[in-house]
Amino acid sequence: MKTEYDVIIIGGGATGAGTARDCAMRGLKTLLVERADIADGASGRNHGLLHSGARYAVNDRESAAECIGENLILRRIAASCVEPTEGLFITLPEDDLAYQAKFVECCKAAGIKAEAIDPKLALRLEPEINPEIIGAVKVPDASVDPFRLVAANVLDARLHGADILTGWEVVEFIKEMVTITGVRIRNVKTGETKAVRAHYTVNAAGIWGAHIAELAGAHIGMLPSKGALLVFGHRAAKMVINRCRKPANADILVPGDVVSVIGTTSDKVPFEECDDMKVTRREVEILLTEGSKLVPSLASTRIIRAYAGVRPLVADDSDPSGRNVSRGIVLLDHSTRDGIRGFISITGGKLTTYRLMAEMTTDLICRKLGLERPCETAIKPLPGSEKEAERLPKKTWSVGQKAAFGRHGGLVGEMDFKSSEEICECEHVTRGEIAYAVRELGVKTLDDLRRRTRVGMGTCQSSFCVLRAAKVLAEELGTPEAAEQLAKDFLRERWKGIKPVCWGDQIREAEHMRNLYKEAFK
Amino acid sequence: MKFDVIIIGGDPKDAAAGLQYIKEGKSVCLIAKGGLIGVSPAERIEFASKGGTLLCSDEVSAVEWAQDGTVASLRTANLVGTPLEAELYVLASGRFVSGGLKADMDRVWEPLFGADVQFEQDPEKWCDDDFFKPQPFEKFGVKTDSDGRVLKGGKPVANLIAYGSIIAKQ
Repeated sequence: MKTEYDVIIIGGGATGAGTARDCAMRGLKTLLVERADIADGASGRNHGLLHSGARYAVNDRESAAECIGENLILRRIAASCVEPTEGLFITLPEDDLAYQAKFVECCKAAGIKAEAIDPKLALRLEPEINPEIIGAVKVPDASVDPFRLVAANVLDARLHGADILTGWEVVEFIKEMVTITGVRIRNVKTGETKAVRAHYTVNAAGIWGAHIAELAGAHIGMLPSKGALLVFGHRAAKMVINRCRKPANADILVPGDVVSVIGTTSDKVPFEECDDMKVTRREVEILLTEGSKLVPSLASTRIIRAYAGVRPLVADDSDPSGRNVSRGIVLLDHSTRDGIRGFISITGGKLTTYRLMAEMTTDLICRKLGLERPCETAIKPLPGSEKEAERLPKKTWSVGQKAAFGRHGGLVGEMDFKSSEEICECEHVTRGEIAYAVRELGVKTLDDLRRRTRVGMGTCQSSFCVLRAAKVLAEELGTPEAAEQLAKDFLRERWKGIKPVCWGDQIREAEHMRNLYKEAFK
Repeated sequence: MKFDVIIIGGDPKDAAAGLQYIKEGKSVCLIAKGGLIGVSPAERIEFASKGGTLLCSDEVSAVEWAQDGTVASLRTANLVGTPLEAELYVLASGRFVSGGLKADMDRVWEPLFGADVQFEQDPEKWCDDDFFKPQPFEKFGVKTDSDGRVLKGGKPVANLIAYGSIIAKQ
């Protein structure tokens, strides 16, 4: 690790990771600092939806146009992270069918290929949707794995020379007169601090960006907006299912891997709650009731988990009351806005538009540094998504190898599958994939490993694999004595998501998990 | 078919309880939903050789009630046409994992006899935040009187006792 960089990026979510990749690809000496782990905030707590933009077409054409542009780019450059499920916007008898015509018209104006189809055809395309529908529109929505997407960006940033520091938080900005020349960072585990310097520091910390800005002496009016989601134990539908009405609670169902996710709610929460989001039974009830209107089978499908993320909504600078929220991408050059040089904030936006946000940020930095280096992130594929031919699994592969291929694309070539030992049976994670994740993807805990490999994310929520996974991870990290603590921490973390949905079959799973482990660590 | 005791359960403790009744000279039928998990072959042979009746991989499908509010007989999924009668019925069907108790979003019930169930009314309080702490839902269970008889509608059922983890804890 160096002590001087061109750019320091704060935040290891999609935006920070994308910006690190873009900066590194343009030859800037780049450092990314993340206090927890990559995709730990809102980037890892969302629908996993690659928006077509249709949802925003009626109210926010600019966002809609940004989404469809990025949607088409990410299908190419992040092919191994995207599943082209396509999407439907359905109108239920209680909805206003007149909205559909306006919706299709607005989609077309934003450049989104939206096609109204016969409800009967929609039911043939997707038999799981509510048979009562009176209207349906097909749109190019897709499912995207946010963990894979962020990991691939981080990996590529590193391959282009960037340094990545997870588990370090920014505690102080280093200022010379009115210019920020670096940050003091602290290892959250050991408490060790050090100073790193850079020409530019980018605040890409999502909702925590408000705090980062305060540290730098600037103020960004942010409104934390909590979005709760539920994970179902099946792919309840094969397409993304949206409700064709003004955006409201629980009107998007997204299939992803072997599960489906319904969401979200939207409630203002205080900043203090952002670090420890809890989903209430009331929120679960809303999600379940509304979700079952889209896909009736959800009412009887096992819910395996609930989680919540915090949207970083930004109050419009022109509105002193802070009530008007800017929904689009917010790029703040603090030298012109606040007279603080060397400091940039990038926030707002969506997972779908992370790459564009990174491009805008890196363009600004290059302009300030007087560099003319074009952005290539829209052309060059992410690691694992390179060639079409490499995106086909081989017939002779083991189940674990195919699963790893689904997660890492062409990178499976770097994994050792000599032993087909499966560690997580729900998600078919093998020892070779874990070893690779530790070696190349900066894994320190089982929760980090989950974000890289999906270990413990399946229907058993780690009931059966946690001890095996902890042992293998501890061995690969070179600290076999840490296995017990790794397992305990992971069980505690998994519990947070099980707790709000603890009834029906899930209370059976919960009791079973307790029976297995309540005495195990005494 | 008539027995002195019918036990609805099927873990080692239930088998041991069955054996105890047999030693007291009772005829015993044990209805085990699964396959008597954790009960060794030797224990099974002992149970059967002493006259115990084992209905493995079977479950109670219906309960018939007598006029006086006692249990008259049971039917099982495999013996639909044969009512099973007993002097004493032992409800040992466990908590949630084995299906002795069922829960939906805000309610817990005992599905076979409709026994009175003690549970936390506020579902937000069913679990503790910490996985490793005792969980409130682990105290849920059927209510019994001081003789271990199961309560239904607030009154004890004279010939039905609860046994094992299905009993509510304080």
